[in-house]
Amino acid sequence: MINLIPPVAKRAMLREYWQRVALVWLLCLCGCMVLAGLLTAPSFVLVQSQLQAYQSQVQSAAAMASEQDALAETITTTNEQAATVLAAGQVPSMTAYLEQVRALANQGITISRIEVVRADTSISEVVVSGVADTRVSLTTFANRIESSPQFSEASVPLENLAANEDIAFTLQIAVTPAS
Amino acid sequence: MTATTRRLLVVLIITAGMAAGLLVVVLQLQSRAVALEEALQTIANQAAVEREFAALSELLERTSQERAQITEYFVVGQAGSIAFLDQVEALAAAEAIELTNPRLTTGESTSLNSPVIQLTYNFAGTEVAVNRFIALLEQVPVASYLAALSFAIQEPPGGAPQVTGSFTIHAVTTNLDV
Repeated sequence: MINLIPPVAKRAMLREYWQRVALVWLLCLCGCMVLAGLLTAPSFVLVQSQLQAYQSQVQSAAAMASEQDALAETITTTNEQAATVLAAGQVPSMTAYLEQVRALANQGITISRIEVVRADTSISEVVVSGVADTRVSLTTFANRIESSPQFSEASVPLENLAANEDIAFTLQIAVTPAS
Repeated sequence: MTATTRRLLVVLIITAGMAAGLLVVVLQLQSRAVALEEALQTIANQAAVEREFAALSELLERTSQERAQITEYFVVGQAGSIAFLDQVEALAAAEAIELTNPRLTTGESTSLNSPVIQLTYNFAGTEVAVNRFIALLEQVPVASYLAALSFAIQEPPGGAPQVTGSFTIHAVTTNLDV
């Protein structure tokens, strides 16, 4: 009998059929979503109510954590300051080098100028100018300085040794790096 | 348009709306669940946080004097810089050293990893006094060090050796803007 239906009507019927099938499936889907929504609702309400219940506790915990951060910051700052004070206390003193140079100046050496050169916090060089009575007293002074553990080298410029007496000299004394 | 097509369209729109609504609900639930989890974690950690907080508070209270003492080693702000200048000048005056041409700048000490004030003076005095002054300058109870020192010694006939020169002292500073 279906073969008696004209093709146009047959197509319309088929379309109608599939539309109804889709409609049924969509309605089923809607039903599922309503069910899912209804099942979700208790969880939603529970989570929301728990959040509200714990809110004050969480706020006080957060405030305490923030205060704790401030305390930790104070301790960090103090530690840094203590480290700086300690480091500043370990900066080598110039006085020790000056006293050593003066103590090493033998008979016949008159010091007229001293310059202490510091590279950042360590002393790198001491420049001593003066007058030596003789070549021997100048070289003795340089040798005494070089034999001192505080200094590593005392170079006498060659031109300083040209004269035999009343020699104006400039000694560049390299300082032994602090271990 | 047939009645079925119209119904299908209406149901389609309703389905889309419901899907969107359900998606929103699920996302909201998820974000609240995450927030709740964090809240529970925070509350669970609170006892430990309270213990640590009490320990830190006690430590800070116990070391308040020491911390105050450490702060005294720093030149704090402009007022501190002025006090430091006064201290150096008072030290010089006590040793009969004449200080001239003061220069004050700021810089950074790489070794100490701190900002410093750089104070330079020319000085003049007897050799004995200058030696004492330099030694005292290096013992000032401030986180500081002599950064540069040069001087010339002159021996006037029949008089005590006179020293003229200049020095630069670096002092660790904090809060220069204060």
